[in-house]
Amino acid sequence: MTPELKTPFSPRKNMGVVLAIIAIAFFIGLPLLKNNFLLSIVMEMFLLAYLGQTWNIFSGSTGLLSFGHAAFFGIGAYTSTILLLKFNLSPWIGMLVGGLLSACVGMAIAYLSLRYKVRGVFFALGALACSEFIRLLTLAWIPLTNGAQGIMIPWKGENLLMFAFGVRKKYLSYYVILIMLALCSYIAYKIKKSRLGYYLAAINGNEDAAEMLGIHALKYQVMTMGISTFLAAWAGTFYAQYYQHFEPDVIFGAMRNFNIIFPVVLGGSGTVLGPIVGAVILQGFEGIVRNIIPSNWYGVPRIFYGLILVILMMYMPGGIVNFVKRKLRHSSPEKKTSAGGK
Amino acid sequence: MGFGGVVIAALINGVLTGGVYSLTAVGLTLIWGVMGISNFAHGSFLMVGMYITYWGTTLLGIDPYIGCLISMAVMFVVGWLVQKYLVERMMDLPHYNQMLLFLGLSIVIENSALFFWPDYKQLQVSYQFNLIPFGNFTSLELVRVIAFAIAVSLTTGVYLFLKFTSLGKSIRATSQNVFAAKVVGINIKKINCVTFAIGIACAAGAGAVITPFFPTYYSVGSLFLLTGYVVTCLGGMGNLAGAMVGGLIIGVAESLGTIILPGGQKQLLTYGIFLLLLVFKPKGLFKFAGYWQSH
Repeated sequence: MTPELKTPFSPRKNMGVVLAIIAIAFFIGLPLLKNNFLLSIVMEMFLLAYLGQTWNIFSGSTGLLSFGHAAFFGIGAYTSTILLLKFNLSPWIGMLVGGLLSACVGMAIAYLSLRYKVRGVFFALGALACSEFIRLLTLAWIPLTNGAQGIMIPWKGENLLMFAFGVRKKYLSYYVILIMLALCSYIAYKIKKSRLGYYLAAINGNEDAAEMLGIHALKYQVMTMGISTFLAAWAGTFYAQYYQHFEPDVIFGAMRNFNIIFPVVLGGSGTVLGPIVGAVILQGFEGIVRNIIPSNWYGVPRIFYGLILVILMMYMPGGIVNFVKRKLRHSSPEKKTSAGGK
Repeated sequence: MGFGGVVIAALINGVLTGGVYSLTAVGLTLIWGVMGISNFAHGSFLMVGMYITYWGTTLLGIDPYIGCLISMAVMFVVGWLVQKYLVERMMDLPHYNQMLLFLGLSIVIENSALFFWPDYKQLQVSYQFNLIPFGNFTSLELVRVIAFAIAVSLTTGVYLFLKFTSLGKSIRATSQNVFAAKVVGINIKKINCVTFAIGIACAAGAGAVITPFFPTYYSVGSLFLLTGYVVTCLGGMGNLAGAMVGGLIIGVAESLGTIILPGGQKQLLTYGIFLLLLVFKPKGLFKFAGYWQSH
């Protein structure tokens, strides 16, 4: 690579920065449009992106599919809500408690499943079994969780300290989820560029080689799982406080797990932009689909998602962002002179 | 019928159900042991097998157990084609992609079923409510006994096939060492097709035999998929005999769970067993076999 060609302000990078600024300004200024319906759609998208980002923090960097992140989402929701209803504890604190609980469970599952050689499949199954176990436990432990009926948070008036924003001030909730998404993406980015991120990449590439270099695979995988599940629980608290009602089958259902994973895989797992891109595309797709396909054609949208997933895995397993990155790299003049490079 | 009677009845019913779990797990563990791929669409194929049998009986009046043979034959071919044109391409990809591919496949299949038949269907046959007396304190449903009998014959058949026929031996050879199998001239592509087809046929058969007493609906597969995996892990991955025994164990455990646990959340026990397994004996109660021996 010839040094004189690489400048910090190449036109491509400039364009990227400009686009990013426009996007950020757009999202920050969105509430000014005073369209609550639009806000709620974008908020759903942000929640999807946020959850995907937490999943991505673990599964994207370690290459281990977690089919059970819905469980941590649910643990967050239930913990903060139960603490709120029984002890009047502010959900802001409940969020942290839920996060800690989630992290403990997540790290336990990661540790148990990843101890032995057959990591990938065992872990996917373990996470799924854990998720289903927690769902069934929630359904059965009626005195604590109200079983299948779910929990409803009574509206006691607006109270910022109690994470209750209300419909009239929807933009407050909007900003909360926006900040959460930004925070999570920032954490994902930081991890990726940090020593932890490089360790994970090494483990992902060749675990035995990494272990030989002294990188303790299990420790870092479990640590990352802890971070990921801690953040995932926050989404649960947000969901609970925003929708004010939730039930086990919605929170922990099989489709929830798929909805968390699919946008990230579509957008590109392992990248910071991936979950966001995927969430945007999916939300847009869902909007279109809702208008085209009759509502009594159950399952048809999901057939499309399944097909997209199959085709994606065959031809574009890295997702959209990785695909675009590769294309950009191959067309940039500097790289054509360097040898190899993936 | 005292409490003891209830427990014994539960035990026996557990064994009967366990036979079906064994059949499902045998299909899973075979594919896993020989090809090294985790087939997350197994449950969906089971569901398709159920629907084929259901429509065979409802529309054409075929007895469900004959329908079972038809369904297995059809799904054998389907499995072969799926392996040849879809799975073969995924064999070299990392596990991550394979799992997602099968997940996508299962979502397509299940939601297609949801689209066509959104409701729960229950097959009705003339002998559905016949009971066989067992001892003098309980009686068993005839359809469950037949399901068990067929499931056990099928699993035994697969076991004997693998042990004594030359094709079976080729399959076992492939599961032990793919490279060595190639060296001795075994056509790996064909073996993969046959194995996958057998696995899917087992799933379809398991689905078919339970139609008289279990409702047929689009997501029935996911129930059996997870339980199938728990059985497979319990028996040791790739271990056929282990899967057979594991199925019975899980069947009994679930049955006893229905008595103990409130609200009949018997799957709680199944997943609990799996989690315990992860903690204490992740390699399963019996040893690994096949592909997983060296990985």
